[in-house]
Amino acid sequence: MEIDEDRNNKMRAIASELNILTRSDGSAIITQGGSCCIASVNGPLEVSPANIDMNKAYVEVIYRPKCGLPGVNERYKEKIVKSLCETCIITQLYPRTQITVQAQEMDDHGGLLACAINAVNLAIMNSGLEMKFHMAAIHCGLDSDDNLNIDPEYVPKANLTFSRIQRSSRSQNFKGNFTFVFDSTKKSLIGVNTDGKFTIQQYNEAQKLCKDASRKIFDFYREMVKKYATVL
Amino acid sequence: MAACVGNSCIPGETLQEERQESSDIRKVVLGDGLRCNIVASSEEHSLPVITKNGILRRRKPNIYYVDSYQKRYIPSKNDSVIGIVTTKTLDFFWVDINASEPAALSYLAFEGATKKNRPEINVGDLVFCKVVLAHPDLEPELVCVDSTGKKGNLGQLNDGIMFSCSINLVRKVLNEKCRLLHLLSKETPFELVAGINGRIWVNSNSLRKTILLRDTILKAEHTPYEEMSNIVNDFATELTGIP
Amino acid sequence: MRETILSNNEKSFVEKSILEGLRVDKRNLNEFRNLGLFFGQDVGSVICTLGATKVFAQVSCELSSPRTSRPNEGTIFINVEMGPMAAPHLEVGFPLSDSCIQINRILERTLRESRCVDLESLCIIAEEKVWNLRVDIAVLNHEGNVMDCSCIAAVAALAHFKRPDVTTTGDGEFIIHSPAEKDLVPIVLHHYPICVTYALFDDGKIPVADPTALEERVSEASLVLAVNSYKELCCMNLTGVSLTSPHLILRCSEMAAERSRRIVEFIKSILEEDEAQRAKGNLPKGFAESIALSNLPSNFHNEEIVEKIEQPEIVGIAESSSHGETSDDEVKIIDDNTVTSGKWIEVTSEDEDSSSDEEMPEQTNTRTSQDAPKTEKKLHSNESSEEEKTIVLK
Repeated sequence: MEIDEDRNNKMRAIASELNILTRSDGSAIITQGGSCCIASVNGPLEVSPANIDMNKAYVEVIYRPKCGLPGVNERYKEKIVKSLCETCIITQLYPRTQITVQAQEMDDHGGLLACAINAVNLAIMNSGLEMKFHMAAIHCGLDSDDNLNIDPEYVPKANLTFSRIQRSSRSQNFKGNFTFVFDSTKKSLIGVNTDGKFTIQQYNEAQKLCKDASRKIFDFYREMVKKYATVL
Repeated sequence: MAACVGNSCIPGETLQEERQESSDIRKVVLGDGLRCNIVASSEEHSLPVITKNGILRRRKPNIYYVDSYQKRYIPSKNDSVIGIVTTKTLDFFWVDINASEPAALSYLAFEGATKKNRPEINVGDLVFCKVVLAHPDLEPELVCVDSTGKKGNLGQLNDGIMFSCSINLVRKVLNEKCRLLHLLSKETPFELVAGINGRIWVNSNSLRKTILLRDTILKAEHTPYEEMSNIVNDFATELTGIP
Repeated sequence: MRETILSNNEKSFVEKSILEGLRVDKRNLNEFRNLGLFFGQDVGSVICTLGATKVFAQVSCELSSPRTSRPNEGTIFINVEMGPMAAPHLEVGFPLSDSCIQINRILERTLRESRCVDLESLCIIAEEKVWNLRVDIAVLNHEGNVMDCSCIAAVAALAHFKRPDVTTTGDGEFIIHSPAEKDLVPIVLHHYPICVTYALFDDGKIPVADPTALEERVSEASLVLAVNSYKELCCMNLTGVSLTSPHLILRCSEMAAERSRRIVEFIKSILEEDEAQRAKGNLPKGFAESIALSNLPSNFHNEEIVEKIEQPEIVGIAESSSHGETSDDEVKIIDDNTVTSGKWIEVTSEDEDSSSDEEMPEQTNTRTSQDAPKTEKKLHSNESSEEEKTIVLK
């Protein structure tokens, strides 16, 4: 299936900056449309005796919401990002050490988990840790008319406000939400997160659409490598 | 996907093309950012795979490496590093070298040191030393003498200021193409020690001059090689009036 | 992970250069780093940069029941967090690090105890429903003086924030209007308190404005003064062990007042600009773009305030005879017992150890005027002890 030039299937504009934090070993900020996330990577560092692993690095992921205390949702996202980091970093090269990853939400206009994963990937890239491949995450929403929307922007109805009551309803204008993560070498699926109601067919179709769209993110990563390599 | 020398490369790409080009050479040396057998796969298992982001480079005749950005130091043998003594134990100084764990520096690894005649170094002092043992499973080990037992340039660093920077800046400063230090030394005499672990130490006869030197070196990070004379000129103008 | 040990070379270099009036980053002793403020797309979200230090603040609100002691006032809660993103040795979660708790407490005192937010206007129905404001501050990069940076971020975020409008219908019912129905209502701020930090060197004789991370580690003590643009001191905090004199604190508070005035002007101008852009329908671009701008020094001119405050001449600093009177005239110390949470700093005169148990600030002040003015008071502060008082500068 090919991507039509329909608005629904276009990715939002991506912008990013690397190495913006002087104290972190690697850092990146990324905006995808209105969503924005910042990530930092430190490592390999000294590991606490409780977490020591003789065979590979211990990866710690901290995910912080924009406001309020981190809850179950954030813990869940930490878990997702952690398993993805363990896949893409060659942790076996850094035994008895710790790699700390922190992601911080900055602006939420939908697809924030995908945005955070992409930010973490860019931060790892900047930190100089050895990787197996890049990872690209794409969000896809299933609206009430059963249309699939690639990387949809949450459009606020009026002037924006920020109360915690409204916060939880941000991605709720879709009946189903998918976040697919692909690797850069074989473009195979390395992570998926879904919520809502959808059929298997819709899931497969969404995966196909996202796989095609992931090319744009990988191209963007390559541009970033090129841009920052020439600066040096 | 295959990466080409001189171009940007990303993890997962293979070194295919280059291998063919240099097929007459029997051995290929893989440097930083290239590894073999990282991804288990049937058809490509023999090809080296890129593991870092940056520019693929080749040094004649057959050394390949990736020029990438890094701030955290990963110990490697024969590197010259600047460390801070953090603790003293019975036989060793434990030295922070900006790596994942402190490195061991034996009391005997100094020129003329014996069991009774120990070097006078305190916690918090800076030492310039060489890495003699670097393995991911072991603590790194340092020495302050060369193989003949002479200290050479190694040893304790007194006065001056040490500052942290990216490892790339240290490489840049030490690069033969970079004329920064050469140009600076024409302006004023100073002492400089560059540790490949992302630490640079400078000293001169006045505090203000040392501060200016530090500032100029940090500026060099984002200055191309050709424009080094500009920042040195700026340095020279600011230097006027300082004895 | 432990913090990298401070080398003796760095320590002695900083100490020596401060004595010569030099700083490692080429600033003057009372010069501040460039300040940048960038608003996000949501109301009440802001990034504040002070040199390389970066802080992100977000204000949010929700309904809750008021405290029983103040049934007709809303509440404000401040949460500062420094994780490994700020610096690799910092950790998130409990137990909180000392520096994090300290910044949190000082901010609470600055914003809550100074009553700069009109909490009564946040009341919907007395004893039942009030707005609960929450300021979340995430430190992104710790390059020193996180205190000032988070304070400016918090104040700017509060000034930028807007809450939904509420209509009460009597008989205990109320309607929260969505932004489409009724415009959002800004938070009422009576004044903008701004923290200004000085690191003290050379037995507390030399105050250094806006210390970097290295200077913070080398300094003997740090003095935080929160002053608003009306020159009212809202909070003062001294940590560390150092000799110091009341004149130095006065001198610093004069300079802090000037700094505060300029920052408040700056915040207001940026807010106006943002307001005008929003009225036109242009939402600010993403943070990534604004951060990119802040990395380029050439684009920084419209955002920066480089400050060089000349040391103000305070009558009586050098003159021994007139000193006591002037300081009495200039300073009026109000003992605000209601806000006292810590212990008084134990004031010990070097030659009068017997009277070291004095605790009242009024007495301290009187004694200052009696003693030779050059006598320095040694301020011993236990790690947890903090001083609370309000000084009104006339």
